[in-house]
Amino acid sequence: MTLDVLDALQKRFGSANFSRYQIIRQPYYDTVRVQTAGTTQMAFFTVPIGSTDPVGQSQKTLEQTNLVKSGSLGQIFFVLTQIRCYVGLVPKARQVSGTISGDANGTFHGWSSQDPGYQQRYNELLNRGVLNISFAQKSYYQIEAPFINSPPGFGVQVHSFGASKVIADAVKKSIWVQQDNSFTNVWNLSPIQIIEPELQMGVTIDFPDGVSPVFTNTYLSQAAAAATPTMEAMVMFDGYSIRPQQ
Amino acid sequence: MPVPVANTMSNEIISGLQTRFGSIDYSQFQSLRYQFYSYVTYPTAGATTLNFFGTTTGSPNITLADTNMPRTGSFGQQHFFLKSISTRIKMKNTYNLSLFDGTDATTLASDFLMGFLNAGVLNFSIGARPFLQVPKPFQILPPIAGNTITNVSGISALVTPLSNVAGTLTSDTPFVTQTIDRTNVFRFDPNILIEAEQQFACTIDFPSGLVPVISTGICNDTTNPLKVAVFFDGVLLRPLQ
Repeated sequence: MTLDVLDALQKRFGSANFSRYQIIRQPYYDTVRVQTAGTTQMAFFTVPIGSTDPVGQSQKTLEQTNLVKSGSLGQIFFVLTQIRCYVGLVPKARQVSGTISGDANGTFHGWSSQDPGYQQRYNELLNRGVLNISFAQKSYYQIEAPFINSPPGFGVQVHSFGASKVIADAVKKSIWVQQDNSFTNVWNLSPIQIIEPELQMGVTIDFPDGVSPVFTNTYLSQAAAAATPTMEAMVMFDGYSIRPQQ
Repeated sequence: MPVPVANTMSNEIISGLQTRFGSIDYSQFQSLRYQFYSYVTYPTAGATTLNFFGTTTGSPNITLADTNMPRTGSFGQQHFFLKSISTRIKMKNTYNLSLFDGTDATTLASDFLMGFLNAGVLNFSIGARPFLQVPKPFQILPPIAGNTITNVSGISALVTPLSNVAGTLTSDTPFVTQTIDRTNVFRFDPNILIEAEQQFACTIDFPSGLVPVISTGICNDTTNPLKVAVFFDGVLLRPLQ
């Protein structure tokens, strides 16, 4: 059971060729549910796929993360070239049953109209927080207001937004706030950063100036009275995965 | 042990015949920019998996408007140098301006803002080995180009406009699209060469649950289905003729 024996066995019967490596562009991402009552920290890359999100109590799937090990990217080298931070609502169908998901007028019925309105709280969230990234417990990056300064670089293009109201409601303005959707504004790393196999990472968004905005019983629209939205935040490491050939 | 008979079914004979009588010259390849695309219907009830590049032109109810794939899950006798991947969404009657009544069901913009564009994960594998996993693919993998409309969302209906505390109001139809900035396109860097006859699979999955279509007032599965697509853009390498 010497290394020579293992090496010979691997070469003859192994499923991967560790003497040759393949490079592909493959982002690594992790999504967590937002604590709508406010929080001082969001922790990313700690709950891998298949485990339960501590806030949403839902099982994480490939839609939320492609992390297979807590705190590391596993047996690959990763060339980190971009950091992208996203926060937003989960789809209407996955919102709280009976309130938001069933609101026929939810999207265009004065989202920002009431106080506390969802859009104003969301806008506050985008402007706050500090992204802290460490490798092997050594600090590497601190990005202030990461949802603004390290935007996702994806989204939709809103050419015009709609509005409507029903009888007995006050006429309200409707706005739709979204993050920067331009890829050219994404936080690029220069120089790039190599993340070695099994290297332990710490990725958090902290709110040292007080808890994050409270979305509990936020007015989403005039039709649905105060209701708590379901939100998610994501940190994406974009770059190159270097893995052994097969 | 049987002794192989020289020059029977050998590569030399096939090569000799092909050189003298073949219709294709496999020693020289032609390269051209090419797109392969595959549209499927996004069901109004949602789906757990959308399978792309799984049908070919000429299959039942499949025309060149749906796909230009020569083979199921492969490019046949051609190599393809994959440079970028993108998605697209289309519907015959996308915007019925008179239909919007302020409800989410009467405009496709609802799906763009709070629907399936906020969900899903794209899985792309070659020979069963994963090559790309991307969440929210309709946002992260936007199309190369698209149309843009700038309009003023004015008032389309206003009842009892006596004050600002009574009556009903509806604006004009909202308009939301995928981003259409070419720089947003997801590029494979380095590019990926998909060899001839290499099997690949491309799906968009929704493992966290179905996401039904919100705009059911204008979209249905029969007369006005919502079509979604994946585009492969790159360089096609095919033997000379």
